[in-house]
Amino acid sequence: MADAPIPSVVAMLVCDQVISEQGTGKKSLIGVFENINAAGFPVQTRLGIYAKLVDANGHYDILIRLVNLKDETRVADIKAILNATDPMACPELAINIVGIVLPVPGKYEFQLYANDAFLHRITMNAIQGGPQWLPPKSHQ
Amino acid sequence: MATAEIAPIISGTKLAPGVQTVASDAELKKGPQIAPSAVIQLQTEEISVELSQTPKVTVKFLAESPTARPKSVLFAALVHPKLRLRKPIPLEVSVQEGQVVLTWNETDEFACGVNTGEALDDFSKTVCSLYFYLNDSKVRLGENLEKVRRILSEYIELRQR
Repeated sequence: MADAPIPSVVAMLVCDQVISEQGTGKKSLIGVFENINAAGFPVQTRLGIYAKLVDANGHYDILIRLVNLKDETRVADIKAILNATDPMACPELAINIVGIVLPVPGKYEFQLYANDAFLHRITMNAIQGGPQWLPPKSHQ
Repeated sequence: MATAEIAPIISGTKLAPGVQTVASDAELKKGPQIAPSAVIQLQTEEISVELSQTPKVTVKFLAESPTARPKSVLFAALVHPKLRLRKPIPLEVSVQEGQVVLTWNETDEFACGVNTGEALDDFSKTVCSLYFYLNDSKVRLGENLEKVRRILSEYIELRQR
């Protein structure tokens, strides 16, 4: 981060999916959550990560690291490149990930880095059992 | 624990909410289920997709589980509406009596927590409080604290409105 200023994170959320509207580029976050319920582990799931930054200007190597907080083991590294050309704009990161595997129940953390500097973190809980999704009555 | 795929975010397909789980005991014994569209990786492999804000995204799902706790970390997670960082603060990470301890050697400041993330939160609070205390005109500083104030000002500044 020699030249690029350090951005600040004003929002970071994990959800089922991020949809980007063609044309306007507006982001819709579908199913924002902090708990994942599963009948058994390991479980494979999909999720979306959204982050909004301010004070970003220049080139940033972005890293989102998923960590199991029980022993701080790394589960996944997600890398992206952000080129912010307008210092007055608020760049958004919107990433959908398919096939992510959570090995055990417990607390997990997404850590956001820009040019190797730690910017922000959010946590989610992977819970064994709990509420199950049921189809609407009209589909039963 | 080794499958990954990034979906371009232009898709509007709505899935059922929640998590797809292994349904039966027989399937559980098979281990993690691989989605038909997933890419299997034995170690790590880079997958590139086009996104609107991020031209290139790569995902690495790790076959092993190395610790994510680094020996050092560049702190850039200052959480205060009036302050911003000029440059990241280099911190050393250690574990003492089950607590993660972050040390800023230049100023001998430290913070701790049950994991690295909580220790970083603690450090953010510590360094913000220290900045305002040392820059309070009512406080008379000794030689050591004046040195700390100078170093702090190299890293932290008031956010311009």
